[in-house]
Amino acid sequence: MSTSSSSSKKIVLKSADNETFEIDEIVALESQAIKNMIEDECADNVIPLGNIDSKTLSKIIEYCKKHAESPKKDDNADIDEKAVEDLKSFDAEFAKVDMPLIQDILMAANFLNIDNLIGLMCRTIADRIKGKTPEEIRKILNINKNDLLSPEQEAKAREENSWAFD
Amino acid sequence: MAPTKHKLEKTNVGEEVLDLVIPYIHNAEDRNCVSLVSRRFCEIDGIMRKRVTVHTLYYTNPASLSKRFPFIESLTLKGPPSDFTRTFHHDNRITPWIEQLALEFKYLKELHIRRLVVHDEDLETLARTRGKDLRILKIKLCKGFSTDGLMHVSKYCNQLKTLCLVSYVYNALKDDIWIHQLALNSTVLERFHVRNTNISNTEHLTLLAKNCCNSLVSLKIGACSLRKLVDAFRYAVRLEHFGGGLIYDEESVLVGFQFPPNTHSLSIGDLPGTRYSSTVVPFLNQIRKLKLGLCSVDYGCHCLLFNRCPNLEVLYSQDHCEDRGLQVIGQFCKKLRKFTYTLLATHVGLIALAKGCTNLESLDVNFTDISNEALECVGTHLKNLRDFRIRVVKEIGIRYLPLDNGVRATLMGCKKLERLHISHWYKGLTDVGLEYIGKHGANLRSLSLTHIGNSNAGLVKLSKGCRKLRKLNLRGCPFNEQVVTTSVFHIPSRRYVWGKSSDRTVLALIRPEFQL
Repeated sequence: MSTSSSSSKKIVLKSADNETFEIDEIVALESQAIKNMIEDECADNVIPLGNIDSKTLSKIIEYCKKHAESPKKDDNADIDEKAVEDLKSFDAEFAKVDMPLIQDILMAANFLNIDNLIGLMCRTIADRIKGKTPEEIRKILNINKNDLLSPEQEAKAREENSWAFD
Repeated sequence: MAPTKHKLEKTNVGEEVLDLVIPYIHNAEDRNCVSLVSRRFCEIDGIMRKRVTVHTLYYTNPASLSKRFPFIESLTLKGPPSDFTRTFHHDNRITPWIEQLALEFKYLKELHIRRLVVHDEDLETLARTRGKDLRILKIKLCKGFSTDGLMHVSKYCNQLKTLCLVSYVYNALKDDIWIHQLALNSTVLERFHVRNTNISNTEHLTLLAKNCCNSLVSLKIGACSLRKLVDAFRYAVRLEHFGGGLIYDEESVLVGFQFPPNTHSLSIGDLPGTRYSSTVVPFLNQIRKLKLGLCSVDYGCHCLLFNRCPNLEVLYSQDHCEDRGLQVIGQFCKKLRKFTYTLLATHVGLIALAKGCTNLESLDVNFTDISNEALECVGTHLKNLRDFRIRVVKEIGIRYLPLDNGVRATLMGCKKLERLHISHWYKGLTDVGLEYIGKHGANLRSLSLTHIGNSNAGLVKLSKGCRKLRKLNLRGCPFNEQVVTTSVFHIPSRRYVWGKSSDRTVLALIRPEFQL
């Protein structure tokens, strides 16, 4: 969807698979990393994001747009409850994607330094791990089996965990 | 970027995100599971674990702990359960841990010690080496130290925000010079709890309140007259919680006395409705926590107090109102989360309470009689209940037995229940009830049964379930020792079983190499 005001400044982002995204500067400023680049005046042309693919990047832009449009808490102490609720339900819907994409979004949000999004993705992953066995966690996060603990190490850690640590 | 390379990177993503996600995993069991996922996970968990509780009875290697978790900020050291220390006089000394704390654990900010033997030298070593960094020090139910040891804490731990001492023995602390020293050295103390100490000289407390006037929010002391605390309270303008022992001031001597303006939590010996009216009544609307000791028979009723406390969240009461009191609480104290009642009620009071206080998380009540209907009511209404303790004591005629179906309804309704204690003077549950506990007590961690069950078969059925059970206490139950020790072997997370029949004590600490 194209943006409403043609006079506002645009920023162009380029994904790893060479797709370009033109967005309002205000949306880009949700990313602390891009904000720094703009302030340092090194964001004149296209910002290449060589480690973020277009699927991930478009999700991140969707998130930043919504959050840029929403009234900020520190701007106005008594912003209406509805806006807060609206943003909450947006976040909840946003997080309903499969685990590989969540991990990609998290890594990208970390690279772009978008605090709220990092928190949202971390909470989502933590929720999905909750109450799961180590084997289930391996599956959820697609962990490489080459790095398992040796049977002795696992037995020792398991023993310590169950008897000694809360 | 070449697609193959991109793919290769992706396989490691799960481990890369863990650095970021780990601070969001708060539950210790979840952290323990994460540590077993892979070598890298174990490493990251070890580096990032800031808070650890160690059961020293089962884990005796301080050096190995600091190797696995080198950056611990908060350490809780627990000694043997109280049943063990009382019955077997088994003492665990803290010295090896303190010696290790002095060498490693350089990031330690909080230390909690429970049921261990702590000597003055231990406190000295701790204070000299880690004292300046400690923000929280809690020593509960420990023995071995004196005010000489505390003097070192006062001298060296000058950044303490919380100092909490709960001792076994009343008057274990012989003088209070150390409080004077603490007052001289502290400016940031927020919580000062010395419940079992006689405060002979309140000037020390006044000095403490003066020097920490911007920080002190919670003060719990032993027996002391409110009259002597007037000056301390005048300085402690931020105080929110006050706890004191039995206080027998006449209202006449309390003219002009005031609690600090933000007080919302009181834990004191006696507070009959008609006394202290001018000092306490103005606060009732803001009171969130109230712990009242045994009130004098003349003023045996606190109902007038409860119906003015709409914001009460925690209540400990010993008043004489029984069911009527519970009904008033159910009607007026809608925010109640924790309730302990040490006199006697019946199912009538329990039903009123469960219907009225649906936020209850913890409920500990004595009954003369209780019905299945009341327990079903608990299951229907108290969805957040985690801790449920009932004792049915012998009175004239018990009408409702057995309580098997009621306990099943409680367990099926209260899915979060972690602790269940049932004590019945006369066989409250049959083997069928024990089977229900096994079947529906999926989240139980602590279970205590007194005079429950008909035969060994009941315990065998119980131990087929309760996979998260850690502690099992049995008193006067008809199970033989062999069945107790073998059946609970099937429960994977069991830590200890303690049983007492009329003729002997059976003990089963279920760890193969453990020797008492």
